[in-house]
Amino acid sequence: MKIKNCYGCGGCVAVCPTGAITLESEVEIITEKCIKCGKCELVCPAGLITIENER
Amino acid sequence: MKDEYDVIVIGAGPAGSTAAKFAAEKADVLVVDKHREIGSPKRCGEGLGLKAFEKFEIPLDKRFVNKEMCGAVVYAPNGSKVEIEYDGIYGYIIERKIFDKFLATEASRQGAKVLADTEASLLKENGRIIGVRITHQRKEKEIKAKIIVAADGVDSQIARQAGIDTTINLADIGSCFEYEMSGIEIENPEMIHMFMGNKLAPKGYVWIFPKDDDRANIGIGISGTEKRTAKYYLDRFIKSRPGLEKGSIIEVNVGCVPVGDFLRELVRDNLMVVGDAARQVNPIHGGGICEAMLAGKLAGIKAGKAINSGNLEMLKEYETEWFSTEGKKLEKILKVRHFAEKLGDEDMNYLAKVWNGDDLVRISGGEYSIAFKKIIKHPRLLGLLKNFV
Repeated sequence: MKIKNCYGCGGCVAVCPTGAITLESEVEIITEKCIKCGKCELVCPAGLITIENER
Repeated sequence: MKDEYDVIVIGAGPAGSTAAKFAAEKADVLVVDKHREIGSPKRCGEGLGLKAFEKFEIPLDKRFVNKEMCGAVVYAPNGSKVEIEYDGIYGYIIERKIFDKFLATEASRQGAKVLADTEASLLKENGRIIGVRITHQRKEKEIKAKIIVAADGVDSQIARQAGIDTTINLADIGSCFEYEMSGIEIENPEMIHMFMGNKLAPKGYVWIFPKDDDRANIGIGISGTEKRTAKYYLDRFIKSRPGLEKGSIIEVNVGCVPVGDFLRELVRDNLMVVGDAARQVNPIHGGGICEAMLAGKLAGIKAGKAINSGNLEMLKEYETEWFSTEGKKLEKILKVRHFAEKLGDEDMNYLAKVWNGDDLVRISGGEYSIAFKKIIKHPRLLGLLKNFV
């Protein structure tokens, strides 16, 4: 999953417990490592991340 | 660029450039920063106290000093004010993009080599850190180093790659959004303004830091656990104030500030962690420029000495000295934050009646005994204090 228009603040990377997020020009969530805890969604100051629940 | 340096610093913010400057007095130093422009994008309200200018002999250069701060006004949820007034100037609102370049330039004047537009990751051999792998303008290169300084911000990857767990709890992070606005009305632009309240900014505050009489950084920091976003609360605040709403947005800044807890392991083998990467931030107001520079200086001096003496064991002194000086002070301030996080709006309104500006200054510096004596007659607040001590 890639987040466009990301401001690049790095908050999601800092709170991600599994190291599933990388930050380059935009945020990229590596799905295999993602445990869908939703922390990145909560911390994003601009509300750009939505974790889709497939369970 | 050479193939080998004594010290490589990753990140050219205030922590990294200061570490590089002091290390370069005795060692061969390379500083890399992933951004194409050092200092940009900023994640900052840009207030810097006079103390930092004095401690680091920073010149009052018009190119990065926007406006003097003569004090602060703190607003309780009911609108009542507590004013912090100083006899002279309390600090300055700076221009980070220029300030950070100034610090990087200072490091280069001391002999450090600075390289922007450079991604870096740790280079290891048999589990030992031997340098960094950089990508500068799409070209990859391996550079060896004896010491690495991780100054790569709140989302530090370098410390993680060294095996230090840098994951931050949601409750320990401030989620921040900020506009630089022009053409606004600011009541008393000589002061900085801070608005408290759980409805306004849960476990945080809204700030107005004037850069001109009609231009300011208007930002917010809230708890990372909050369901609604920092942007939501900030937009709502601005909308409720016609003097701000009519203004223009000339810059948007987004950031996350580690306000809740400190990284305990600052040194592992030949790697040191400084600044936001080590969460060296004042937990009450979220400011971290001065803390980052103090840590950078300490780490830089230790790095230089370690290179000079050939004894890398010395690096550990950075961690022990930090936690017995500035780090110790920050621990006390963190306790105040934990108290403040439990305050309801009514509590804050009450505190605005019994506390004055001097109390707030002391508290944000971790000296809480005098201010806390003033609230022992308030049963609920007294209860909160019992948990505190």
